[in-house]
Amino acid sequence: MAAQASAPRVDGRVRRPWSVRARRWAHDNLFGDAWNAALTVVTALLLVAGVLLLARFVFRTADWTVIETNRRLLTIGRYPAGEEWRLWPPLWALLGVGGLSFGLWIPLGVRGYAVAAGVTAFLYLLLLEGNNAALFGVGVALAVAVYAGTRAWVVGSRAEPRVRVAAIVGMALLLPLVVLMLQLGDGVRTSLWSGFLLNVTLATVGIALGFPLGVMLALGRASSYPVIRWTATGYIEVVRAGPLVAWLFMARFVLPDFLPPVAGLDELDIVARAMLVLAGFTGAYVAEVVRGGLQSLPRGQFEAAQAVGLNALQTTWLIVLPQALRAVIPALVSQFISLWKDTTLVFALGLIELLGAGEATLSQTDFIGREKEVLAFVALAFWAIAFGMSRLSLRVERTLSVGAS
Amino acid sequence: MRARQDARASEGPAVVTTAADAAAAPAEAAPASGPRRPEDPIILCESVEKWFGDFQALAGITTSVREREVVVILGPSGSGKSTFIRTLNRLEEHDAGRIVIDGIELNDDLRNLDAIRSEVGMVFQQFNLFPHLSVLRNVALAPQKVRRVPRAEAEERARELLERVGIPEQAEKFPGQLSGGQQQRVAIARALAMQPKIMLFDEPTSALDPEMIKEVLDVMRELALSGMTMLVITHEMGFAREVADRLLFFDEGRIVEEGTVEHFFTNPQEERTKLFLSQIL
Repeated sequence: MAAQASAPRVDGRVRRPWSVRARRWAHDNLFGDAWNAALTVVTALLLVAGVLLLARFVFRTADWTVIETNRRLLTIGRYPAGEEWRLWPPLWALLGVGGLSFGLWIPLGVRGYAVAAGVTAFLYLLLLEGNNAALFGVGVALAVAVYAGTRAWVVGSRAEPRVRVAAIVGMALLLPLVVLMLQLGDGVRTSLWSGFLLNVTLATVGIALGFPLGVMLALGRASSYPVIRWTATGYIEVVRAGPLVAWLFMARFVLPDFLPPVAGLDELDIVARAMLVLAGFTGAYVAEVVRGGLQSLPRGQFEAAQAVGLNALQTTWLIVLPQALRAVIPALVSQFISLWKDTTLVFALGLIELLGAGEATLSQTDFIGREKEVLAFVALAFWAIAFGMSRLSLRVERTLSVGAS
Repeated sequence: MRARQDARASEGPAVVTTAADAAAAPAEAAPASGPRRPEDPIILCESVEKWFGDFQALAGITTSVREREVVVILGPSGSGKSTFIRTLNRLEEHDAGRIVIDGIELNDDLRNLDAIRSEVGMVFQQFNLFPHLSVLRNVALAPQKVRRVPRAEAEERARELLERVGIPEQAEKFPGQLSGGQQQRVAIARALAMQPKIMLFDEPTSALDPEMIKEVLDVMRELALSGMTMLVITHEMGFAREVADRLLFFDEGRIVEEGTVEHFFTNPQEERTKLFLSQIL
């Protein structure tokens, strides 16, 4: 009776007391029948054992000095000392554009803030060396300020459409900015780009070039002009027929023989070759994903677009692609996550990315036998980015699906 | 019945012909391609044929439509009526014969095609709204992109059109959030936004629940009264009786019978017409 009296009221009705609801929930979700109950118990035991084992490894048996000592090697690898200043402006630009984009399109909830704080703290620990902390702080402050400013003053204002265009232009300019900063003056040879920086650069370029390439190939394959259709189809089928590692080896040993000796093309930079292969490979897969999206569009959409007088280019750009791409976001992101992990394969070109850098630490006499720590760290780094991409795509999907039936 | 129709009745005797008569009469002084005189038909078709593989969908359609005329097209499914109106804005290319819309010959000349598409609006059975765009954007898009009307102006005009079809309050919603009847009215507004001289309706109410048919027919009726030239494929005989100046009955890719509403309801000549009418009435 007392429980009844104190139970919270919703819409004038007395809610069941929490103890009843908890029992109800446990019954519905965990112990519905004997079989479910058994499954619940076994799963719970496995889960607890797993967490305990992991905790013991992380806090007791593991010796993280291998990571602490090699922070630099893992993040930027053989990147020359004294040239780090080149990396900060692009990172700041990235954080600024990131803050702007999130402010415009992906407002953060409580969980979003928690994740952002976690990532920031982790990166901070990783970078803590010399005045890196201060420089990183500048970037974080910039991102926070831009995000907050965008939320407060831009969203909903008359300037919003223009700021959106600016954000997209900013994203497009990021990559050239990175290259410019790295090459400016007496720049850093690309063969020295390594570690996590290399993975990130390769994946970004792979996506930035591979995605538009894939869209064009998909449109080409759907074209009514036979020559374009055959070319696109031929490209897609040939590229997909070979394993990525094989293409990377080809780029290393065979490609120079096929390039004309114009403007130094036949001595094309090894990192540039990796970028080309990753973008070209991803493009072929993206093309097939996008083709699926194109086919999912009802014919009536094309007919309606024609009937109101839109030309082929306008129909593609305004009607077909927005719908086709939206329909395939999950598959596209899957492809990008795949590419992200495939950046480890550039070992075939003799490049040292994060996994390679991790292996290199193991040859240091102090850290022989520390495979577990190194692999755990590398895995965490790859997981964090892949998971981030996956969550981000969910948000984008939800934002875009407004009104879609 | 209607002032407009009365005015037209004085222009000449109501056309009551069968297909045989139409074929016998020389195609009414077919004008060459070029500027249309006001008295010339706005749509002119001569022996239009269309094949899908070995299937002949249109087996020689010869007819014409005057400005401000409302023509209702009847016929069993597969009779070619839908194919016919789709050839009029070249969603289907005709294989033989000629089609002249407002003095412009429909052929492979892309400039002609652009000109015709902007004069001919079309409303589909399945609405075919753009689901990723708001109702307002659906209506404002084409004038903005095709006619280069500034965005603000195009959207203001779109709001007026939504007002005209009776759903101004739905402007910011997306098509998926509207009922079928509302979607079809948006589709009509979208077609009207290009300020067409001719409107084609391909079974506009066939995909609608019964209680929504009326709201769409009301809009179409208002449009007919405003003097729009309309070709309407429909089985709504009440609507046909009310607004049609002329009916065409299609079967097996031909116009089997042609005449006024009165003619069709009281005195159909052809057996197939009688059979069809007995089935749908």
